[in-house]
Amino acid sequence: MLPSHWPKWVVILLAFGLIVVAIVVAALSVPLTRALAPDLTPAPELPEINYAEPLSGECELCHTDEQILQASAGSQENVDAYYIEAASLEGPHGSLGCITCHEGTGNEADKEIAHQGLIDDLSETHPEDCLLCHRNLPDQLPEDNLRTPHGLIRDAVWAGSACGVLCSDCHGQVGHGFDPVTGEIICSMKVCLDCHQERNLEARLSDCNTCHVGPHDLSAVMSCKDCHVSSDTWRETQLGVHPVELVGYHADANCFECHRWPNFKGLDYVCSDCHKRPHEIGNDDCALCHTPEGWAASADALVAGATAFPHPAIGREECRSCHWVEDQEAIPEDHKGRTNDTCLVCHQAAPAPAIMHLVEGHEACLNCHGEGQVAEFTVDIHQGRDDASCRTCHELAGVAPRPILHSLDGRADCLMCHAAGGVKPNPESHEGWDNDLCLLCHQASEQPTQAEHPFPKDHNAAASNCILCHPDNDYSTYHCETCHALAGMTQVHEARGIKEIEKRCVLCHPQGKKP
Amino acid sequence: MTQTAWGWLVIIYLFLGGLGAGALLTAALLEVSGWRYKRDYCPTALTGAVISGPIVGLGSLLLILDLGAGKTEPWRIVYLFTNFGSVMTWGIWILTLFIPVALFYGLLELIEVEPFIKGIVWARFPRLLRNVPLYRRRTAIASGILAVGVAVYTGVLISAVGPAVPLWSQPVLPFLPIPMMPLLFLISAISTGMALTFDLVATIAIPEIQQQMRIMDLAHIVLIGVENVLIGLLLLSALNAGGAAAESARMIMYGPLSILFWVGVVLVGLIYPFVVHAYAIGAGRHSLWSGIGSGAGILIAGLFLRYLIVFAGIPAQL
Repeated sequence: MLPSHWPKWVVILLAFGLIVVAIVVAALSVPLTRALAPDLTPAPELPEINYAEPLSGECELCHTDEQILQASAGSQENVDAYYIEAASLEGPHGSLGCITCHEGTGNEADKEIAHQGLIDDLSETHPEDCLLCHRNLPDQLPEDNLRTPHGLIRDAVWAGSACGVLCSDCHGQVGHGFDPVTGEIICSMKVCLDCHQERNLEARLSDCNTCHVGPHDLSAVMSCKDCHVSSDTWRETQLGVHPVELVGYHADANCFECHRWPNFKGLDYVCSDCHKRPHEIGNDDCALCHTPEGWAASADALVAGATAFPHPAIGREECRSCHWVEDQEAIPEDHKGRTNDTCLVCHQAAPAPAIMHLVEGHEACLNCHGEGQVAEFTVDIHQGRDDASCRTCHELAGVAPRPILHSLDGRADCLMCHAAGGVKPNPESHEGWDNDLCLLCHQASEQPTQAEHPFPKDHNAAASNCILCHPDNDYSTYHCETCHALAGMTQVHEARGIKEIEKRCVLCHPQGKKP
Repeated sequence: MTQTAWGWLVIIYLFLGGLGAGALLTAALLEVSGWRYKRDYCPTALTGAVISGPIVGLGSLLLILDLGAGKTEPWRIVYLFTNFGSVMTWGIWILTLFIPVALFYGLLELIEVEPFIKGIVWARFPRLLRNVPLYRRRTAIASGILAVGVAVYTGVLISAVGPAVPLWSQPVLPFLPIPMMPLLFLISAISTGMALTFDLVATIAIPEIQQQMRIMDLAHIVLIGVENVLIGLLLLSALNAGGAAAESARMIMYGPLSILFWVGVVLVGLIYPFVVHAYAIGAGRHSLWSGIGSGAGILIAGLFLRYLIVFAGIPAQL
């Protein structure tokens, strides 16, 4: 296409030319297309801020050095007011450089010249400069539950009208180390309230809802001030409106350690709302045994104060089958909801004394143990008991009093021999008892007296063990076969020509020895 | 409010840097593949090799002038060579290495077509002339590698500023945290380089060259397709990101930059060239003017694309 006689390097010029054409065409096309295209959001024209950090060295030199400041500031009050921590210049605003916001004359060592045209508070004279970067300031800060006047201020700034609130009113000296927005510095609500009051703002601007977006949907039933009583910290609350009294740790706990955020729902005000029962016994009505003042101590006190019960526990595990049955064994009112398995946690078994005598023929206990009777029970703890209830606590000992080992004929006065100091004194427990009582317990038997017992009682280690020779306490006969098997004895004797030996042993062995 | 720190100087740098790198890559590819030697004279290789050094150098100069200190105290650029923690230092080194190597590569191409230069070289460096093909091949490989760096760096430069301008820091995919811009700028660089050196210059110089290098049609189809996908992903990702990024995307798609985008980039730079090259693949040929038109479209769309990305950059809101 290009003439063949043209030098080949002409294509290089052609390429450069095409590049230039492309740039020119683009430069011409852009304004045209932008003019024809729709404008999405007519944003306000913003002024530019000259980035002047490199010009701020002299400012920083003075204002970060207390000694230099003292030399020119005149008073310590001024030094305190104009001194800037060097570290604050590393922050987002500080690093913009002093001149960027405060203007004046850059890189000028002379104080008067440096301060010419100085802007003390940028947000007062040029609030639109703040909005250059902070264009979309939120009207609400959800993470802090705060409502802000940003929208009003922004609109007023763009409209060029005064709204009475400056950025610095809340955000202070953001370039000089104060930056409440980061959360590192918490600005007390009192500061806001004082400012509102100083400016005589209408009363509603002192309401909580002016700044705070309450997280709780309780405005229909209560106001913020019912609980939040401090203007210094939101977390300080009073519990006067709490439906139940909070004691112990509960009085110090944060509301939402127990309640569900944000509207306090989901509680029945019982222990099991929050606490999981750590033991198997009992039920979820923890308050039956525990009190919130001291969870373990209250239970320990119950255990320490519990009385013992006077009957065995084994076989009677269903305590409530007898106790707290209507019209039966009453238990204290506060025991009403307790379960069988909790009784033994506190109460120990201390069984009443066992019955040491036969009961047959002696079913009317009170005849002897009743008030004023021969073996009177302890009145105060047995008051109102009848014969039917004795066996509830008192069990048979399983042993019978020793039988009377002699005939009663001519021996009606037991104490003649068995009184203290007698030939055969009774135990000390019998002290004070007279003859009328003896036969209530001790059964007379046909057992022979010592004088009537010709055979040695200590025969070959029998050791006066009567039943070895007299099974079933039958003293009408004797029974050598307990030790001397009849078959063997018969065989031995028959070998010697002695027959029919049964029940005839003492004939040949009156002293239990070989003849 | 869009960003105001970067203007036309940076846009033209991004364009020239990408175009120079793309043109050199095209020439180097023809050199290394041997396609350059199908004809005695290959205007694509000549143009790509010769113009890349000067236009990347010119672009770098614009970049320096865009810096405030670049106009008044240009020697401060030296500091940029030593701050290895900055991607800009990497870029400075890549550009510094690329420009002389590319100029040398251009010289080796010029020797072939301009006897006057060949005579000067013969007089000064006679040994060089004895091994020109070998030197050219090696230089093509070295400069081609550096050209990839130059093209990618144009995107890295802009994505490095990305956190302040969310559109520029969009990832390739939401779950793939690789910045989109370097990849998009690399593809666009190769596309514009091919458009200038082959579709425009070579076609104007030797119209029948289009019939002889059909591989270029396929390469264009692939590059346009990839570029199309990347631009789509960029805008979707920005819309999905919300905030300033979404505002940027809306500005491009149906805001003040929308005509430039839909006409200047999508229609002229993507759809029309795609149709032309797809037709050429199917029919086995395309007309001279459709080829030139396609090249012109891709070239100017490359500039428009960079303009859109730079001017639609809306700073993150505080």
